Amino acid sequence: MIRDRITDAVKKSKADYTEIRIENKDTTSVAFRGKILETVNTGRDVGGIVRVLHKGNWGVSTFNSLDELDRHVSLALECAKALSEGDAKMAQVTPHVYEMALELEHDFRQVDLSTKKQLVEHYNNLLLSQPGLQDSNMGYGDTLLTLHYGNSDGTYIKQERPYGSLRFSATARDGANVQTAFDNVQLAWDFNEIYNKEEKVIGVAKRAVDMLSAQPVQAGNYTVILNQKLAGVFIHEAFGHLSEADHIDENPRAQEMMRLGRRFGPTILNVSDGGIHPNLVGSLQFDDEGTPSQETMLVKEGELVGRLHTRETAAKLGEIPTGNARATDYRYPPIVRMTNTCIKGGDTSFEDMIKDVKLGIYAVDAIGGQTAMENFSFSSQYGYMIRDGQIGEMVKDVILAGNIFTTLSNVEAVGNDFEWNSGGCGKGQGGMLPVGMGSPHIRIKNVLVGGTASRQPSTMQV
Amino acid sequence: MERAIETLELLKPHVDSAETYAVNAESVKVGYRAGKLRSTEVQETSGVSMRIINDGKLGFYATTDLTDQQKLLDSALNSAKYGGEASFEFAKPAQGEAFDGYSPETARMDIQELSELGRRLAARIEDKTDRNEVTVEVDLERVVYNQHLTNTNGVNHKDRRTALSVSVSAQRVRGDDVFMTYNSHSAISPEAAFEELTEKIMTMLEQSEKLVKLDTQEGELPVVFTPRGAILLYYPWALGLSGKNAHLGVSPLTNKIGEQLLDPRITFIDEPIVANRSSSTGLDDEGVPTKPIAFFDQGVLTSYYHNLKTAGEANAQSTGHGQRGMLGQPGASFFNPMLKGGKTPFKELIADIKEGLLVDSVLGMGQTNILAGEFSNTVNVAFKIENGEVVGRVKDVAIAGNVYNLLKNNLADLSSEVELLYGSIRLPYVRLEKVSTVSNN
Repeated sequence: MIRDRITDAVKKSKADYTEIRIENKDTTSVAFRGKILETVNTGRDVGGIVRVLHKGNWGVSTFNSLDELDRHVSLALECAKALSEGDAKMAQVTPHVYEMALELEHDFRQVDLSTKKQLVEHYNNLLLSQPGLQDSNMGYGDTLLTLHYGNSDGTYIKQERPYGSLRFSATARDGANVQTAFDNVQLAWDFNEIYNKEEKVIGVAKRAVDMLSAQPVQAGNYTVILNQKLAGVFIHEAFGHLSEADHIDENPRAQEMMRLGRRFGPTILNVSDGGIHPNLVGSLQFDDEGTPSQETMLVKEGELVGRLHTRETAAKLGEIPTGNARATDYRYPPIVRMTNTCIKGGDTSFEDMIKDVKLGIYAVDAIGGQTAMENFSFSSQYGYMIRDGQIGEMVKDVILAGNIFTTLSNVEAVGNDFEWNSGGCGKGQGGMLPVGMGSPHIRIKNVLVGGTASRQPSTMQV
Repeated sequence: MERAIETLELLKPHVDSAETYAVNAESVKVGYRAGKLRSTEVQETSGVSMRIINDGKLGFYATTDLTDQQKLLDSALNSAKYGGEASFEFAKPAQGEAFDGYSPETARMDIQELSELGRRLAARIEDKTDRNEVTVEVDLERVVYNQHLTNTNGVNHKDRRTALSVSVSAQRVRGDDVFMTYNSHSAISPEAAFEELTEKIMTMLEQSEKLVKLDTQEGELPVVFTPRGAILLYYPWALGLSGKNAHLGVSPLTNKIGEQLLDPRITFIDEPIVANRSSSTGLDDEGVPTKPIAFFDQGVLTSYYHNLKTAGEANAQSTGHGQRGMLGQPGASFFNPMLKGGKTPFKELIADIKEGLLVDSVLGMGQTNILAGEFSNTVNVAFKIENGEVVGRVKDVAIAGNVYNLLKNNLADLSSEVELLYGSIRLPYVRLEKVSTVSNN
């Protein structure tokens, strides 16, 4: 039914190119803060977007009420016609007709609210039973995103994407010393996968307490080993964003800087992005322009070999669309976004990686990262000093600074223990888009680690 | 359409009490990028959210699907059935200070008018820079929206508002040197600040022409935060002054009301009503009257901020800081926060600095233990101050410290200039002494 309405409205459009995307997002959340049950609720967000390209100009209309698709097509065309100077083109993509039906062994839509609440309560009780905590959070969320997409090239795609998450944090306090540890499980997902997370939950509670007695890291340049989670954030920030073609498509100097074939790292470094991996949060069969997903090599043996595109940036740079046109939701037109970005596994074992580090830092898990293209930063949740090849004392506040031209070339070892993790990416549009980030352990030399220059208490004294 | 009232009437027979909040909005957006207007967009938004209390338990539901009333009712009731304890009552009808957030001038702005403003702003940068190396983007939006809050206590508050928002960014690439800077502004009706958006960008582009290195590789330097850079110092307060964090004992400000926590020159006020500021309002989004509060009054902590729910949990009164989006549950936040300025002009503020940093933005803000006031960040846009002058841009520099400690013990001075950021936060330049700094030369 929605298919017919989309197809009809597209057909009637007088624009050179027309596409319509309609989304329905059903969500459930259950959240505790400490002992207090904050919420058990569901929600529904329905809306659509019409985007037209007419004589090189884009026009867009977004809406919640689905009653008047034709009017929104006309509005979008009026928008495009109000401009005169555009020269946008779209690279060709073979039209696809595809309707996907979701099959889950244990479908979370069939699980009632009280069961979900009980499960979260179980995890929360476990968290609360850990000694030494001042505060805690336990949140469950699930989302079923149903996407209908049609365009005037003849493409019609229906996709269903299931997401689930369990997020938990623990805060320990000793006077003015307040430390928080957090972890999460983000899945693209089957309800069976939400069970058996007790170890992780207990882990954050222990860590928050341990961090009370950890010293802040002393600032300086170190050899660092990043664990899989942090290395995933590292490659997302360090390289992923600069691979997005919309950062360079209008700037000749930026294109020169990011010319294909340029060496960015050692031959052990291989980086890719792709939405094709099964069961990752950044995976999709088709992107939000109807381009099929693929895996795109970005760095091969240290050399830049590819970048990420929408149909527009691909046309602009004379390259091929890569299936990276993604929108946060129906309120936004798609832009170049990552899907699942990773450093491919290498052959160094963790033991070999650490054994000849005289003084270094083992940085674990991520708080987040940010990039300003050339420079970027990424924050670990906690770390350990490495002394004479051995893991030493725990340290906190390990914030790492990087530069795309030096940090990548300083990668010294790539581990044989590859792992996928999940995260969210905010770029240009409100909200977070689910992305996968993967990597094995990696070792990088000469990384600037922030922190206080001299040993001083880092807690507030009031 | 009276969506809020319709929904309230639907819920009423089934609940002990209820509150509904409906929003509809209509907006126009224009995007300019690299020499051309690229896209325009119209947006029509509508949705409703509701909280209900049944048998002392709180339920919530939000939707943009306004066609299925039965689902709406069932979902709201189901949420309360399994929900948590309601620690508060919905607001009673009250009179807030009158404030008109609607500007017919903004409401009338069309694609053409926004496009002209966008072109004009872009030209001010593009005319003075090389298009092969500098990419300019301008995004403009004007929105007209209606908020309607009702509850079973008789609150029935409608508010029609407008907002104009413009952001300008410039990215310059030279060889392997990338410099990005941006500026944004929003207001209820058009004002001069929109036309002035590019001035700061041009200054930043000029000041970053030259790359310099710090002489100090590891040590403690005087650091001057620009008003935008000073957001790093403001950020911990947004968490620390939260009534919820204070009540739960995770804020370092817990149980410190009445204590001199910061330098006496620090006065931090939230003013709910400031002319032409989009977030100004006499009643908050839960129907509670707002009032100005100096949270730090000459360095003394006076209050935390609350909405109805956090106040109920802490056995306190709402301070009128309830704020919500169309589909979210009410949170609590500031309206127009301001750190009062000092007496010294910026030029004098840096005049006696032999070597120091001027920090305009950092990377990874908020990704440290910010609740405890701790920051440790790589600078994003920062400049070296040498013998009282800003001499060039620095890279690969990281600063660290604790905001509460620094503002208690290391405050050198606040500038007389106070700038409005993002259309809502007002901050001066802040000079701190002895901030831990490392650089990678």
